[in-house]
Amino acid sequence: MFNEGLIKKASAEIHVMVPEEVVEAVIDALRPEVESPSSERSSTYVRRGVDGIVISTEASDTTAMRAAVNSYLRWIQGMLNMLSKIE
Amino acid sequence: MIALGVESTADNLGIGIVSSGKEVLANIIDVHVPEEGGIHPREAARHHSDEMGNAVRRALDTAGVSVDEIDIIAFAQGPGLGPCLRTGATSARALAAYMGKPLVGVNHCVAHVEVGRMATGAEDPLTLYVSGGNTIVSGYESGRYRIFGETLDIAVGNCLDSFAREAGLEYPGGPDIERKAAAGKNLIPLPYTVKGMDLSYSGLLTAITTELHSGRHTVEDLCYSLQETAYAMLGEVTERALAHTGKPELLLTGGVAANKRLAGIVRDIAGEHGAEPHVVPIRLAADNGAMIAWTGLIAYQAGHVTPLDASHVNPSWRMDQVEIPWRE
Repeated sequence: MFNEGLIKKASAEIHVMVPEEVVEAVIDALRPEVESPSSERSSTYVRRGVDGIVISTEASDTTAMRAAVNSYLRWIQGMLNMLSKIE
Repeated sequence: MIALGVESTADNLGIGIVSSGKEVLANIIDVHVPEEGGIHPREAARHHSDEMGNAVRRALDTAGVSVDEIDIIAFAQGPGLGPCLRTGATSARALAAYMGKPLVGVNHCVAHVEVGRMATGAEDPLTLYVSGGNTIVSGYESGRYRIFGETLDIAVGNCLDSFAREAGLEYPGGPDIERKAAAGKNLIPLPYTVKGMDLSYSGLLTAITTELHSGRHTVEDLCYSLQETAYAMLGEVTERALAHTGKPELLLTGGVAANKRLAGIVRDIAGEHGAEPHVVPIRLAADNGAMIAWTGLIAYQAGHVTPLDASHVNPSWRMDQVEIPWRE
């Protein structure tokens, strides 16, 4: 029988398309969050991808995975939204 | 010199733009109001993320400056709610990195003191800082703001807001409680908890909530009794600190500084001790970006810059851990 409690680990890699001119700024802005995650249940790495940014997350469970991915996507959304409106 | 400040420690998203000539060019505040209950950190953070772009745009338009004219980017680095702090921090870092501007991390509590000094002209005050998240009596000494007294549990503003929510009053609770308290006549005995120089408000909140649900009192008497008890506690600690330090000024700052009854108590205490009273203007009392911008600006002028790789947020950052080189 399938036991939901067996889901002990999860990993995800998300590619986010980001305009070339802001890629470095967004990665720089995320680096401190990568270095000091709010939870020990997940760790995330951020790097430059082909068309933007790649977010790689490993978590001890799917709940922590969802929280970490949501946080990074929300931060990126906020940064891109802001940078698109300052000019 | 012009600074842009990002405030996102709790439910207020604030973007302020301030000049070195003490002009507040813009002070946009966008408040996250929960549908029910108190602040949910992730919901507030989502609000801040959604509104960040609009708030920055509105601040630039209000100030009448382009982003190129901004010299430094300041942000609230702590203390506060982790998800909210991180949302403001990531945006401030991205803006600084993209524009090639210096980044300055600011302690939120120090910013409340500094904006009070800036707006009132106070030079060396003892400060009573009261808000929904903090209750602190502090004064500058030997390079830092020293804490003489503080809450041991919840902040006085949290106590007021929680009671207001329980009583079905408006949010934030302070203004509605103050209006109703003015019609109160009977003082209900409530826990008055001052321990040494520190205060405790959780017992008071439990007691006033119990009295509310007893049905024995009018809401006016409840508000009156809550205010009188909560503010008398603040008055006792503040007066003792003022007598001890002999500071020539007494400054009331933070969101609860908008309360006229508390401002009156502060003026009375100052008068008793020959100190000059100051109350932060209402427009700068609540959490706001202008106070972050101003504090970041004077810190930068004193030589302080926060490198991107050292700009981690600190949700538990006490104000007495911050060096204050601009006061030396």
